[in-house]
This record gives sequence, structure tokens and C-alpha cells, in this order.
Amino acid sequence: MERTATVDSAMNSGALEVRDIEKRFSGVPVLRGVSVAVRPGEVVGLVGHNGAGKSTLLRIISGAHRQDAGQLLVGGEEQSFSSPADAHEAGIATVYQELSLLPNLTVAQNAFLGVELRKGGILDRARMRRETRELTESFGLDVDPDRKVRDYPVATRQLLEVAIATRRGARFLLLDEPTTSLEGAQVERFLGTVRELAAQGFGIVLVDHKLEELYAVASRIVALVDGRIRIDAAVSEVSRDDVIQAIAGHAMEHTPARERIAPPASDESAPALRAVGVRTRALRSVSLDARAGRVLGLYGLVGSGRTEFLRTLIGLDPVLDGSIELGGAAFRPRTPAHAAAQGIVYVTEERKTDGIVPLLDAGANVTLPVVGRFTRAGFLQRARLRQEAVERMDQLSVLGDRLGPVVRLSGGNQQKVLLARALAQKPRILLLDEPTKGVDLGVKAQIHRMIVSLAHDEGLTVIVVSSEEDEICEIADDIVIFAHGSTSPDVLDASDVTPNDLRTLAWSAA
Amino acid sequence: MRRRTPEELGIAAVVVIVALVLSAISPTFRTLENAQILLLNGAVIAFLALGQTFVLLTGGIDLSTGSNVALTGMIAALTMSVGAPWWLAALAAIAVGILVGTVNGSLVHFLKLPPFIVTFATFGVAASIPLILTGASSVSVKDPFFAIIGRGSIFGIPMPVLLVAVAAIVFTIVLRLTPTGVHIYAVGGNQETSRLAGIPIGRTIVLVYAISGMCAAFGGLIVTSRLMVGYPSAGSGNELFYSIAAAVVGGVSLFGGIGSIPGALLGAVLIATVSNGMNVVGVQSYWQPLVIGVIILGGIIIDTYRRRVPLGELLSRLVKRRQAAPADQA
Repeated sequence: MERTATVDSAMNSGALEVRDIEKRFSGVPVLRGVSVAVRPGEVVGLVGHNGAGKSTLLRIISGAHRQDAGQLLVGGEEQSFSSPADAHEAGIATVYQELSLLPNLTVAQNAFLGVELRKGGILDRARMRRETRELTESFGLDVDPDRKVRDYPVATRQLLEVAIATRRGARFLLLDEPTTSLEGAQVERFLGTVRELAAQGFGIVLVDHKLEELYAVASRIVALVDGRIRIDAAVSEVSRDDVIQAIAGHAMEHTPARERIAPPASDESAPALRAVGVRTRALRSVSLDARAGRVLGLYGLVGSGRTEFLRTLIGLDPVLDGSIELGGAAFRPRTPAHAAAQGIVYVTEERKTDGIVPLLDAGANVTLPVVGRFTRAGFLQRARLRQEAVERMDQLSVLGDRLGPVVRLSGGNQQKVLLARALAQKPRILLLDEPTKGVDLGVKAQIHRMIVSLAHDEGLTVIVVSSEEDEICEIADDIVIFAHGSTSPDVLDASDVTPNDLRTLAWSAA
Repeated sequence: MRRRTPEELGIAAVVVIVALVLSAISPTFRTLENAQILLLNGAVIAFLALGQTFVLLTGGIDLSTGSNVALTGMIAALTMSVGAPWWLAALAAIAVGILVGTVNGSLVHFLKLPPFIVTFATFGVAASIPLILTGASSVSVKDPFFAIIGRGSIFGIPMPVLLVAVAAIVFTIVLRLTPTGVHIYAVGGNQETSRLAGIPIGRTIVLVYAISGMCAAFGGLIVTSRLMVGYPSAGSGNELFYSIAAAVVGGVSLFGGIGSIPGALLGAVLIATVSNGMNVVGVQSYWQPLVIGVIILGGIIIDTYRRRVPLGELLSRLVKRRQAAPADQA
């Protein structure tokens, strides 16, 4: 590999550094004074629990967000990025999990996008083709510069994106969980490339949940916990246990008081829902039981397969292997409507994309899936429909303007509208994905009480996915841990589990 | 070894098959004279389709081209009616065409308005102006040199066909061999990525609409020159419909980022062939829009399903765009 020019400039330019970065989102502090530096030639492994602030930190460094306080320096000079393009200019390239190459252009066109080489006004295609080939070969990639990027698998595109970033004058690479979509040998090769790039003088920040991968390439480990740096040390100085301890240890000294009606003892009769060895495109093997009248919490790191499992239950991902039973009878999910007919209702995590219909009013959003029940001779019975909506919204105490577009309600009330919609479908099994995401603390506690009451008082089977350990510990009766698309063999009794334990378990499994 | 089957092969095969079938049915169809008529009649649609291709490649659409034909054709006739030479009239028409396109592109880019609505509105504006200017009457053209554009021929090839050919070659060079061409595909592929790569997005978008406007002006010149009369309602028929049909059946994606000039040109030839063939065979003309409508549906079905999950991709793009907005604290 010869990219001497790049190496020299990277060596001379000094470190990428953030000092005392603070960032809040709607009043909630996410980063509380973070200082960290990456020097050229160094791989910094950034770890942290879900919601620790890793992504926010990366977004600030890459110009996608602006910090509320603190400085960002490259080579000692303070920078002010108002867009990702500014960060690019300063030599910072970010490779996110969702790839940003253009699939409809060729490899060479992507490599030279915006900086095309020309000869006499027209493109110098021969030279771009040649340089692209040299570049890809130096990364050990066997790609044809003239083929469209969409013809290549994700793993290749990921390496291609890194390769292209290095070509475009990047000196610092931020890699956000780059190995999640890779497998075995591909991971090895990717990590090899990372090591080699560092040797050439690139400064690299690698965000990764898998400690073994980090320990294989990183020179320094930085652990971000609740918006603060907990560990910043050379790999030789911290053990994996230290890292897990740091991430888990802080998790809330106080375990919230659990004053609530005791759940009905888990009887030995058939569970309301049973999954045995379920395998899909995204899941390896998921086995669990969910019982009526109880809240089952699913915990795991982002990408461990929790959401995918819920989506499988309503037929959005075909089951390749294994079986699902409902009250002892075999069940094969087909479509969300089919699942709803069986009493399985899913409340999405992405409220804005596949939850609310933003411009309809709250009531219409609530009754959307059940309007067919409120007709006579093909015409809507508007009064009955309105009454149903009002009852459901009262049940969940939806506040605010119920007659205006639902999108004008607060996040918490929008979430209640979605819950109300789920209840209008009279579910037996309620699947909740991050039920309090982006919801303020007061409403959060309210939603928690409602979820518990739905299970304990009304006998519903509730399955909750949450990235917040506290939330899982507070509302779940039983907990199952997900890692790499599989479930833990044991069901944890939520009353003996602390948020610390959850983090420790999830990270040890990762 | 680098050669792969060009994507235009499919549409080329369809054109050949349709032509062979029509030749077998009708002796009139397979005459050289009919071939000339076919191409001549297809020239305006072809021009509009070429311009439309640029706009579609960026993910937009230009509905104003049909009435832009009437506007620019009338501008040419009016310019000559006040005594200007034919070439000045042609330049004036082209300038007005480009102006309409520039307005479209600027509204789309700088005010972030949906292309469909913007060009729908300018379609109405451009359709009215020639009627207002002339009080809805036609304006005849006296300058015999102006007739060359629509009626002349070189080595038996009608002038409009030659103009289309030259434009197609120039446009192919622009799209394949210049940075601007790559940028047009990139903007249609993903605007955010393009912005990050430092592509001048505004310039690219205004340019494609301007090119479409210019192509409409050539259409207007051809129409006015062939008739030697400026009709205020020229181009208000099926031209727009057929030009979008030509581009789409020629493999230009309505989602942006995919397609080529040769494809669009073949699409225009197919539409012209079908239309001419139906005339020659004696099918009543009411049937033509129906058949072409069916051809458009076929083209769109292929466009939607040729990529593995185009709709899914489209959705996930929307999802990403919306996720970028709210504060994500993960």
C-alpha cells in the first residue's frame, strides 16, 4: 500500500479532540462533559451501554449535531461544524451502519463523486478506473470499478466505503458498529484493515459492542457511561471485566421501589405464547414463554434481535425454522392483520415512521384499525366511533388537543394514543417496543403503571422490549436476555435482578 | 470482459419485434416512406422524452413540456411576424424554453416544492400565454428559411430526425462523460449523500429542468416549422403523456438515478412505431392512448420490480430522512 502523502499529513496534523462536550435533548442531558482524544495512528474503542451517548458523541464529531457546550479541536485548532460537509473538510469521515454509497452509481463514480478527474472538460474515466482499482486492491477487495455498487454485498460495500473515505482526504475515521452486518471471516478481514489503516497514520474511533473485537484492534478503550467518560486507558491497563464493571456498575444505585399488585403466580398450564428455536433472517434461535397476566421483558443490546423477534410474531419476517404456539396451538404469523385477528397487537418503536398518521386527529388514530367494526350499511357510525376513541383515550388519559393533528401532541401523549389504538383492537397479547422512547419522565411513570395494570389486572400477556435497564426491572415480571439473535436459556425473575445485573449479563453475552 | 449486456437491450428487442409484426401485417408499414413519416412524427415526442429523461434522473418530473411546446412555437412565430429573421426567432424560442425550465428548477430546488405541483402549475401558465398573446388565433410564418427546421432533409433524413439524433449524441456525452452527468445520477440516487460529496445540487437541479425546457423549445420549433403556422394550442394533446411514456418504457426510473438517453430514445421510437403502426393498420385513433397507457403500465411494473426491493428501499430512505430530524439519544 502506498499512500505516503496521506500518511505524512496525518502524522503532522495532530489529534482530533473533544473537550467538555455537553449535549441535552429536550432538557435531558445525554453528554455531561465528555473529553476524549484520538491521535493519528491510534484505534480508540468506544463502548457504552444503550443510551450512554456514543451515537450522540459521534454525531457531534461528524457535524450532524451541534454540542451545547465544549470544544472540538483538530490538530489543536478549534472547529465549528455546521454540517457533515464541514467535518469532511476537516478530514473526519464517518461510516455509519446504514451505508451511504450511492447504489445506482459505479464503484469508480462513487470513489470520485464530487471530485471527478477530468481531462479537457470531460471525465478521465481511464485514470479514475485505474486509481479506483489500485485503491480497492490495496484493501484486498475484488471489485470491478465499472460495476454498480448495488451489485455488491453489504460486507463489500462497508469496506468500500472505508476505502473511499481514506481516498477523500480523511485522516480520522469514525466507524459506528461496522461489524454488525459482517460474518466470521469478513469481521477478521475488516479488523485487519482497521489495524493496517492505523499503522498508516489514520486516527480511528471504533464503536462496537463486541469486546473481543475491540481488544483485538484497539490501542485504547474509552467507556462512556450515562454521558460521562468512565474509563480511558490503554488496552493493556484495563481488563474486560473492568470494562463490563464500569458499564454495569454505575447503573443506578437505587432500584426503584416496586409497589404494585403481586403478579399471579406463574401457573404451569400452557403459556399464552411459546417460541421454540425460532430462526429468521435476523434471528438465530429464540426460545421463550410468555404467560397471561404477566409482563415479559426482553433485554439486550441494540441489534441483538429483540425488535426483530416482535416483528416476527406479527408476520413481518418469515419464520425459517422453529415453532410458535399460541395457548398450545401452533401459530404461523402471516401478516400484522392476521396476527391482530389472533389477538396479537404490536406497538412500534418508531412512532413517527410506522406509528401515528401525523395529520389525522388523535381519535382517528386510535380507531384506525377498527373502523370496520363501526359501520352500518357501509357507512361509518361516527358517533359510536368517536365514543370508542374517547373511551380509549380516557382510559389512557391522553391530554392535549384531541381534535387537532395528532403530531401536535407531545411525544408522551402520542405514545398513549398508540397504546389506546392497540387496546381498541382488544388484544390478548400486547407487544410493546420501547414503549417510553422520547417520553418525558412524568408520562413515563404513568405508562409504566398502565402496562403493569394491563397485565396484572386485565390478564393480558404483555411483552416489552426496552433498552432501559431500569424500565425492564420496574415493569417486567420475567426477563429474557437477547444476544446475537438468540435468547438466554434462563428466564430471570425480575424481583431478584438489578439494572446492574442486566448490563453485566448482556455485555458478557456479547 | 468489462462489457455487460446493456440495459437498453430489452427495449431494443421490443422495438424490433413490434416493427417486424407490423411489417408482416401491413405492406404499407414496411416502406421507406413510412419509416420517414414514423420518425418525423416521433421527433417532437423524442425531444420531449430526452428532456424528460434528465428531470426523471434527478427524481423529478416535468409536466410543463407539452404546453411549453405551444409557448415556444408561438414565440418563434410572433418574433418573425414582427419582422425578425428566422434564426433570431429560433433563439428567442429556445431562450423562452430555457427560462421556463429555469423557473421550474428554481422553484423545485430553492423553495423545496414538489416537482409534480410546480410543473403542473407552469403547465397551466405556459398553456395560457400563447392564447392570451394572440387572442387564441394562429399566427402564420412567412420566412421560407424557417421551414428548413421542420421540412428540410439531408440525404433523405428529415431535419427534425437529424436534430433529435444530434441532441441525443450530445446528451449522451454529457451524461456519460462529464462530471455533470455523474452528478445528475448522484442527485437522483440520494441527495444527502450527494450534498456530503460536495455536489452542487441546486445547479444540477436547475440545469435538468432548463434542459427539459430547451428540448420543449426544439419541439415547438419543429411543430411551428412543419406547419409554418404558430398554433396556440400546439402540444396540448398527447405529447406530454407520450414523452413520459417513452422515457419510462425506455428504462428511465421514476424514482430517479437510473436510465439512459439511448433507452429513452428507443422508448420514443417504440411509441412512435406503435402509434404509426396503428394508423397504417387502420385502427381507429381513439385506441392509441389506451394502448400507450397499457405500455406505460408495463414499463412501470418492470421499473418497480427489476430491482430487488425498490419500494422497500424507497421506504427506508424516507425512514432515514425522518429519523435524521428528531433528536435520537441512542
